Amino acid sequence: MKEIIIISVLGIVVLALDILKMRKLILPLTVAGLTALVACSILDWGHNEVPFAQYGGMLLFDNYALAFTSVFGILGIFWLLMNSDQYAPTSSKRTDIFALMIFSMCGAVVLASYTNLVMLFLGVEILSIPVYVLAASDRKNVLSNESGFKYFFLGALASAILLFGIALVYGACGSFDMNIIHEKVSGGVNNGLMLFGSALMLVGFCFKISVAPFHMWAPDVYQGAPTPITAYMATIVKGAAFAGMFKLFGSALMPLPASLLTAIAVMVFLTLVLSNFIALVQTSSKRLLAYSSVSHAGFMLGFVMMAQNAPAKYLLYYVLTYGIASLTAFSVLNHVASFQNGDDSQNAFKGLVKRNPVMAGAMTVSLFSMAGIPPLSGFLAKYYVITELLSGGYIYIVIAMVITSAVGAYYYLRLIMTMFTPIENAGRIVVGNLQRSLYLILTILIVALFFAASLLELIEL
Amino acid sequence: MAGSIFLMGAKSARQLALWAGIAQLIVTIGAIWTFQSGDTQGLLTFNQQWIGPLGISFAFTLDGISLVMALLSSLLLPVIVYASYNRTFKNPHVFYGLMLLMVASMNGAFTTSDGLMFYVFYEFALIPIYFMILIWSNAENKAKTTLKFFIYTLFGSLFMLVSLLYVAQTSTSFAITDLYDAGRSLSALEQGWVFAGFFIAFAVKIPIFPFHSWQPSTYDAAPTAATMLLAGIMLKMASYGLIRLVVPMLPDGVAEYGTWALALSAFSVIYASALAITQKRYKTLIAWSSIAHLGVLSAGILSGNIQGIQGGVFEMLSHGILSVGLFFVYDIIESRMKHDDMSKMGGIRESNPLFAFMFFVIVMGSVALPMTSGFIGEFLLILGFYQYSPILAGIAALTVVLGAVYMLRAFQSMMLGPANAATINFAPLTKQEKTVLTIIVVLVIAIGVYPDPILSLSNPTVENLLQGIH
Repeated sequence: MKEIIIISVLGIVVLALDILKMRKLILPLTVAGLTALVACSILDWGHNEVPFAQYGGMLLFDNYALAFTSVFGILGIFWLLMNSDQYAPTSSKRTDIFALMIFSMCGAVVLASYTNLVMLFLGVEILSIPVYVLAASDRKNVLSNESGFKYFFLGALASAILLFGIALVYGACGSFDMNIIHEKVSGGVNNGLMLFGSALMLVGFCFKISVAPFHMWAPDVYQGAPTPITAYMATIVKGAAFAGMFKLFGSALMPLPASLLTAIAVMVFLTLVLSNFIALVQTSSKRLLAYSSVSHAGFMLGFVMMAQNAPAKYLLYYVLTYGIASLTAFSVLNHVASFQNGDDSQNAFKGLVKRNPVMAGAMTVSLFSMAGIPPLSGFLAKYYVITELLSGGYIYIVIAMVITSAVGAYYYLRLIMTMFTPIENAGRIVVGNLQRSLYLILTILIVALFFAASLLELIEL
Repeated sequence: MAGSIFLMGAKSARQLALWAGIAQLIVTIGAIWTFQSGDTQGLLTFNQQWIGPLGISFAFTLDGISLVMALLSSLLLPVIVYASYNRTFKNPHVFYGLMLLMVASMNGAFTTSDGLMFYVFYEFALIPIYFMILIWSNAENKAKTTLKFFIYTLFGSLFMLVSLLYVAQTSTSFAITDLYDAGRSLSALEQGWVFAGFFIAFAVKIPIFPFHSWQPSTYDAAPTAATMLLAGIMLKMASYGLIRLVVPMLPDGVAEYGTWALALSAFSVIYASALAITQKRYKTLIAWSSIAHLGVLSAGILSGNIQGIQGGVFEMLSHGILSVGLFFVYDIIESRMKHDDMSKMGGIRESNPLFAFMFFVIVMGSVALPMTSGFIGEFLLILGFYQYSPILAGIAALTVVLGAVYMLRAFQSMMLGPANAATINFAPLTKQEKTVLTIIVVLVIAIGVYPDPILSLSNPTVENLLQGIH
C-alpha cells in the first residue's frame, strides 16, 4: 500500500518544488522517490497484504503487483537519469515532463495492483492522460502535436470501448470485484453479455498495447512524439498495459471462452506478420523501432493467450528485458538525432562506431537482444513465450514467431550494419558522463539478465 | 573444465592469440590423454545447474567425438592465427579478440552436453564472425553478403530451436541424454517433422543445396583468416550437430522420413562439383568444392551406421585441415598476384617448386587419394552411405571423380605449364608461410597414413551412441 502513496506524493512534490523555485532538486528527488518505491516493493515482498480498507479493498499489493511495480520503478529510474540532459535543470519544462511522467506511473502501479474493474479503468486513464500531454509536449513541432492529438482521440476511443466492456461484464456478473466475477465465470455465467463484454475489454486493451489490427496509431504517435516520450511509451506504458491485461485475463475472466482465445491467436499472428514486414521498408529508424515495438507486443500477447497456466514471472521478465533494450535503443536514437538536427533516418547512424563507440556498442547489444540472439536476455524472453505456447499446442503461432523473428533480425542487422559503415568527416557525438555510464550499465544488464535468469525461478509468481 | 579454459576470449594482440591457441592445444592434448587413460568422470565433465525447473544447465562432457572436435579447433586455431601473420589488420586486438571469442563459443558447442546450451553456442558463434567479415572485409558488397549470411543461418537455426523445444516438451531436462529418450519416444511421423527442423538448420550451415547460396559469396568476401575459421571449424558445428543430436535422437524419423535429406545431400555433391568445374577463380572454386565434400559428409552421417558416423567424425577433422590449407594457398597467391584468376596463372612450379609440391599434397588430400587424410574420411562415409542406399551412394561417390577433375585442373593451370610474365617473378615462400604449409602437409599425410589414433578415440563413443538406437 505504501507504494501507491509514495508515487502519488512524489508527483505532487515535483510540482511543489517548481513553485518553491527549487527545480534543481527535482531530478535527485524523483530518482530517490522511485528508489524508495522499488525498495518498498522489495521489502513488502511475500507479506501478501490484505486489501486496504480505505480504498474499499480495490487495490491489493500482492507479489504480482510488487514485482511489476519494482520493474516499472527500475525502468523509471533509468528513464529519468537518461533523459536528465534533455531538459535543462532550471527550465519549467523539466518540471512538467517529470511530473507528468510520475503521475502516469501512478496509473502503472494501479494497473499492477487493481482488484476491481473500476480501479482498472481508473488505472488505464491515469496512465494514459499524462501521456497524451507528453506526446504533444514539443509544442512547436507539428508532428508532435499530431502525435498527441492522434493518441488522444484513439486512446479515448479505446477507453470508451474498455468502459463499455466493463459495463457489460458488470451487467452479467453484478459486481466490479474481480473475485466475484471469477466466481461467476467459473460458476458458469457464460452468456452473450459476458462474452461481448470480455471481447470489448480485449479490444480496448489491444488498442493500448498496439497489436494488429489496432496498431495503426502506434507508428505515427511513436514517430511524432519527442523521443524520450516514445521511449517511455514503449517501455513503461506498454508494460503496465500488459500487467493489467494479464491480470484480467489470467484471473477474473478465467477460463477464457474458446472464441476469445482464437481471436487473440489471430491477433498475435497478424501482429507478428504485419509489423515485421512493414518494418522492412522503413527508412526512419524511429518508425522502425516503433514497428519493432508492435512486434514485441505480439510476442507478449502470447503470454496473455496462455494467461491461464503460464506463470506471470515470464511476462515480467519480458517486460523488463524488452524495456531495458528498447530504452537503450530509443535513447541512442535520441542522442544521435539531436546531433544532426533531429535527423532520425537510418543514415543518421552511419559511422556511429567511430563517432561514439559506447553508444554504438549499447545500440548493437540492444538490437541483438531485441532480435533474440543468444546469449542476450531478449533470447530468453522469446524462449519463454515459445515454450509456453508450445505447451499449449499452438505450434502454428510458434512457427510464425520463428519466421518473423528471422525477418526482424534482417532490419535490426541492417541498422547495426549502418553503424559500422565508415563515414567521412563526421564529428564525434558527445554525451554526458552520466549518460555514458548509463549506456554501459544498460548494456551489461542486457547480457547479465540472460545469465541471471535462474533467479527468476526463485520467485513465486 | 572445458568451459573455463575455452573462455579466454579477451582482447589480445596476435602473439597473445597465438599463445592462447597453443595453450588450448596443450590442454586438449592433456584432455585426450586423460580420456585415454580411462578417467571419463573426474576431469572431463562439468555440470552446473542454471535454470533448474526448466532443466537447463551449463554442462560439458568431453567424450570421444567432442575430443576430436576440440582437437580440430585447437589444432587449427594456432595455424589460422599464424597464417594471418602476413596480413596486417586494423585494430588487431579486436580482430583476434573476436576470433578467440568465436573459437570459445565453437568449443562450447562441441563440448556441451546440454541441448539448449548447444543452441546458444551455435548461435553466438555467429556474432563474432559477422563482425569479422563486416569490419575487415575489403569486398564492395560486404554489407549485403554478411546480412545474407546472418539471416540465412539465423533463419535455419530458429527451426532447430522449435524442434529442440518440441522434443524437450516431453523430456525431463535439456540434457542431451534425456533428449535422446524423449526424441525416441515420439512417433515416427513426429520425428520426421522434428528432423526436418533440425535438418534445415544444419543444411543451411553445412551447407547443402538448396540452402547453400550464402556460402560462396561469404567465403569470397571474408578476410582469409575468417574464411578459414568458417570453413575449417565453424561449419563443422552443423555436422557435429547431426551426429550429436539428430542421429541418436530421431532414428525412426531419419529412417522413415529422412530420404529426402539424404537425396538432397547427394544432389548437392553433383551440383556443387559441376559448379566448381566452371569456376574461373580459385577462391570460388574451393568454396564450391567445400559444398561438394560436405554433401558426402552429411549423407554419410545420416546413414546412421558406424562407418558413416566414424567417417563423418574423421572427415570433419580432415576437411577442416584441408580447407585451411587450400585457403592459405589462396592467401599466398593473392598476396603476390593481387588476383586469383586461374587462367592468368601458370608455371608457378618453375619459380617455386616447393610451394607447388606442398600445394600438390593438399590437392591430393582434397581429391581423397589413398595415404592422405581425405581418403579415410570419404571412404568411410561412402561405405556408410552405400549401406543405406547403393544408388545414392554411387551418385555421391562421383565427388571423388569430379573432385579430381576440378582440383587437378586448377592445379595444372596454376602451377604447371610455361611461366608467364606475371608468374615468373613469383616470390619465394617466407619462413612463416613455409611453417604453416609444412604443418598442414605433415598433418594431412600423418593422419592419412596412420588414422588409428583418431578413429579409436571416437570409436567407443560412436558405438555407444549407436547402441541406443538399435
